[in-house]
Amino acid sequence: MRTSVDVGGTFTDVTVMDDASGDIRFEKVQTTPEKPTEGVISGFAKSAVDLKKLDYFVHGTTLPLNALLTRSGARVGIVTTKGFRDVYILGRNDREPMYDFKYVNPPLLAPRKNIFEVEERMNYKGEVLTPLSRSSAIAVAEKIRAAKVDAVAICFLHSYINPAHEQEMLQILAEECPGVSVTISSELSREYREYERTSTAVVDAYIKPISSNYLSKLERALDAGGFRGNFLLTRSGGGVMNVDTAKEQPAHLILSGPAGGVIGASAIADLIGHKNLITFDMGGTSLDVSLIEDGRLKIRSEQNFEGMPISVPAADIHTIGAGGGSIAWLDDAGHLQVGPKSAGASPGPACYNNGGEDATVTDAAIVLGYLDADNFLGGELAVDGGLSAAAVDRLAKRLQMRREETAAGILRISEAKMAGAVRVISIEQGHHPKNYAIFAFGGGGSLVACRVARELGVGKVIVPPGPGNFAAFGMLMADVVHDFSQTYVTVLSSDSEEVAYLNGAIATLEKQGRDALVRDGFSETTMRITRTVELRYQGQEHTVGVELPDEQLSSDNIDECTSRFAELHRAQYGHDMEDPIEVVTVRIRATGVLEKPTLKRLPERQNNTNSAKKGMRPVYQFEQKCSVDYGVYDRALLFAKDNIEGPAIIEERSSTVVIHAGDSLDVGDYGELVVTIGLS
Amino acid sequence: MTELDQISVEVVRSYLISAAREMNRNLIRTSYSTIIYELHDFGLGIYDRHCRMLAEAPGQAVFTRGNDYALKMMIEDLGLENIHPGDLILLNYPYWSSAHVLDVLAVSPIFYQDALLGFTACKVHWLDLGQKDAGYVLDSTSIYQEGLVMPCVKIIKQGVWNDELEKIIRYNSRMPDRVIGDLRAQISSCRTGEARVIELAAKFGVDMFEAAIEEIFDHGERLARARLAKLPKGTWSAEDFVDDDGINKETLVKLKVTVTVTDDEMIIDWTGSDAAVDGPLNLPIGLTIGISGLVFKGVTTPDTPANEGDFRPLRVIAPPGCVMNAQPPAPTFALWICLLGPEVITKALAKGMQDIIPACSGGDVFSVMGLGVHPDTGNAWLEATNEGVGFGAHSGRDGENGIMHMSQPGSRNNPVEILESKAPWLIESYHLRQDSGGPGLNRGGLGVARAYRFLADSTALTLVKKTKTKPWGMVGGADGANGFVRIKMNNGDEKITGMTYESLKYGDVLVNHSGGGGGWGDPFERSPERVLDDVVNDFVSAECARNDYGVVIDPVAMAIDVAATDQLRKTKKTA
Repeated sequence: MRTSVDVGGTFTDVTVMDDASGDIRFEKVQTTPEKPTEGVISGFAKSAVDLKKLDYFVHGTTLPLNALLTRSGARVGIVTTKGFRDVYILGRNDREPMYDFKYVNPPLLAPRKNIFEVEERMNYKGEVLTPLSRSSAIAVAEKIRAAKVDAVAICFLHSYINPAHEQEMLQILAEECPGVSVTISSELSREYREYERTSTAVVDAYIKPISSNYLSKLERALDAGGFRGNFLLTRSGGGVMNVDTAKEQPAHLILSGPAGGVIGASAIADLIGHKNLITFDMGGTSLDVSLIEDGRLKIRSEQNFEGMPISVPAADIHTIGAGGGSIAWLDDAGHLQVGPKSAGASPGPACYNNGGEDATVTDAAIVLGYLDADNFLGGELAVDGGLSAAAVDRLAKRLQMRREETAAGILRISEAKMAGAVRVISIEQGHHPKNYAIFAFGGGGSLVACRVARELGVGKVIVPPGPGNFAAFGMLMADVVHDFSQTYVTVLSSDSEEVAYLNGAIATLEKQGRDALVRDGFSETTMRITRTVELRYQGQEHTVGVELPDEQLSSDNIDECTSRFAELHRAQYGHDMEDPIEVVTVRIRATGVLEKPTLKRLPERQNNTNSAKKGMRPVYQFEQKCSVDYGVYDRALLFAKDNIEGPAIIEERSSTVVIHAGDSLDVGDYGELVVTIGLS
Repeated sequence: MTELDQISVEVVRSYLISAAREMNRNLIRTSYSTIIYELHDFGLGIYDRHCRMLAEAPGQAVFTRGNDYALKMMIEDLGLENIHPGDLILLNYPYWSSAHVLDVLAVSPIFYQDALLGFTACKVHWLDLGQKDAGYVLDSTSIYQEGLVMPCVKIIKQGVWNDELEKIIRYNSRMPDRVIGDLRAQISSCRTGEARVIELAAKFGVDMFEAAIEEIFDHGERLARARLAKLPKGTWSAEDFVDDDGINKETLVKLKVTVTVTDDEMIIDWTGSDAAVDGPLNLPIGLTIGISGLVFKGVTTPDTPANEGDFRPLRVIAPPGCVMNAQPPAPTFALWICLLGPEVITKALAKGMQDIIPACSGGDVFSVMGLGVHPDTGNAWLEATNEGVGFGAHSGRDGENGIMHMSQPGSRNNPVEILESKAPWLIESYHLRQDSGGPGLNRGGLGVARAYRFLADSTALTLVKKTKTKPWGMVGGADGANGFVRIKMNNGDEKITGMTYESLKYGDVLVNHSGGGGGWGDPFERSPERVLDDVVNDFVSAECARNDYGVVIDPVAMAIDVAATDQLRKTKKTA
């Protein structure tokens, strides 16, 4: 038996899977932000999970992310190299708004008064120029005690190449400041750029006390319930980690929530025969998109959260403020705009009758007939379509447009933004969306996915079973993952000394990976190691990741790397060069393969089963400017190999799929809906 | 085809912005110089066939507008009939390209169904084109000392690479491989944008595409006019000075501007500025239009992506032959006026818009550049970094500390760890300058100091032209602290300077100090609690709190001495 719990802003999703039968159950309980542990435990209760029989509990939490968003994390102190107090405050000095003369940086996680300098210095080769001064370190420890901080981030210059001073400082603080949690930058990132590493350590320190308190409390509650299985957490960079690692390095938890869906998509990709996917997860306030290539999620070595770099690997998830609650408004020149402001869960869209006056994407979808106001969330939530119409009318009057045209405009503008978001992770990275299928989930993904697909020239849209719970489901499919990397700038050459040196660096990281997996209880047979080098032409700064073969590097396969790099460079940028190639960073991903549940197949339709069609409803056509009747189907009554020709609407409790004229829907073996888009 | 609706316009707009961003990304990720991938010294965008800017990506804000002018001059020079599909044109003749010789504009014409739709253009700082001094030229007296000029020549002719031109470039550059690497990055950027615009035209059809972009411009214009209408009306003048022209070291260069805001236009008139100067400070007219546009956009529509329509209510006047409208063969290499000019305009506007305009920042961009032969590798090295400055305070709040000057918002500093691994430098310190923010009810932002110890004999340049005039405060706020450069020789000699080109020896230390922003409002009105907070965080010293703010702080208890503060502030008021 395995269970996953995905705690979202409004709802907590629980998925329960019986390993023996493959049966899956989905449950939803209200999220209890003030008592997060109880929310999880009550999820277990509602879904009648016997903790004693549970082998795996996989958890995705947005608690650390929310602490960041709402700035409710720990009081943090920072320890830096003498002379470099302001690395964290100065950042990289840049900003996105080009014309704002009054620009203000996002608020810092630690005030300058809590940033302390210690006498020590390394050079870029990792050689000690000034040994760590114990007296200066002790003096800083005193200041840290006086400042009453909960957590400290230590980042010294060049610690990526030689972490000795950071480790020494950690030891001193452990002795001098008991009770204060300490993060050292070199534990999280072994890559150069002092600000990025400092920021990573500060974010980690900021969320560490709250994360580890929460996880410890949850562990105790689980323990009291008799749980003896594996407690795992989804990681930003894909895969899961055990709870002890999560408490040590909460920086890996930032995308713990959204990562679930991406992990699930990559896991299911192989099973359903579509290995190249664009995940398209639309909720109430935002859309998360990412790329799955050949069944694997795209990882980037660093994320940027509201201007704060976090240098730990993360799924390349691009988020924009375009969800069901996104608000439509008119700019100063009278143009219709949508989002990024959202009506959220409260007051919510106008149709919620909860005080929301603004027309949202959900209201537009009701006006157009995409959503059925009388059967919202399977009838669980009473909404008023008249309020949607009234809200849209208010905009329509100012625009001097008809109600439907205005609603269609709201959807089209959102779709353009969503298509733009997909372009960011595909075209802008050298991948054409036509080679991918859109994998739509979340409450709203399947509502608009077919039109976005058509806009981008994507031929297929896939909607998994239980799209509203897909993130929770996805977590059950994850393996344990550890990432290690090291900045290591050298020329890539077949010179045997260079090759041996590079092999040595890889072997060191590999050993760290294997050791971590052994600590997690994995044996050699269940370990998988992938090795990547980040390469560039000498003189460039940015790199392209090239995966290495499994065997040791030799003069022969170095040439393969060289040509693979040129090929990738050409694909991404349109040209390659003849200049020498440089290795910048070596990366290891160590995966501990967990036993996967077997998914149950959906039976095929027998002659005596009822039709899934439950009626018709008019849906407004953007181009023809009139309404056309769409057949409405109940997803629960669909069987494998069923086919539905568009236009049609397929409804289930947590989501609605809209397909249009020319589109054709087939039900796959596992209940996934595969829509072939009628591209002209 | 359906008729044009404003929703389609938004779709086209978002596509174009995404395309410009993709151009930006390809350039940054494939370029060969720090100046591009860290300092973001470039300007790129997508233009229609009338050379009007449709979309841009963050780089140097002053460049994108200058590119409009450059494209117009390119068409005038080549003739539209001589621009063909598959061409890639290079232009760096300053009076046309609206930048100096090292900023080379690459242009890709966009053809769809045999008709010219527009251009993608990407201007990038090249490391070397054989200009008289390696790195940067600070004292040229004519364009003939400033490097190889390429006046609208094709590196690719209808898809065929021009080997002869590549050879000319290579043999005129001290760093041929890196220059060609950057050219390839530029081409990658231009071609990417070109492909995206063609996709867009195919999707919507040419007529619809052209109608949509007209509406994008018109929308920009309407928005700009709506915002302009809300601004106070009037005429205001201001002047300010640039340190020197590089030749006449003791003579300040005067910039004068008169700004008139009426119901339907803003006129920025540079009449009264100095005549063309002997040294390389003269500004091509395209850049003068660019910096004027930068400020105009900043006070009207800073919140929207830029396009040509945004600038329609702006008129720029600069008499030919003045320092703001350089004529051939005037030297233009050190374009520092384009960094200082914008804040002469805001200085004029501040007289009528106290609550809108911030005080002066501590900037320009305070660049340091070093070059030489690296002792570890024996290879030539060239590294550079800009430095953040303190922003001016305004009616709403304190100026931000240490961020990039308004003229180069996309530029980033170069990390210590990267500089040390590429250059024979040991960075000894990098921090905010206490007390550099101009005191005020709202305090100016703090400038930055960074110290470079040279570990090998090298050439060092500083590109700094605001060390002699103050970052002005306003509405009773005090000036910010000036930026300056201190050079401490190994032999004990020391000097203070601004823009300089030096041969430094092993062990010499160069300390670059950027300026603090001006204050806004009377500092004696600042609440003692806010002053205490500044002292606790070491932004302001206790001494400065007492002298400039009239707040007495007990340095041991770190608390306000209320009685002493009251007394001090009362004395000041009666004085």
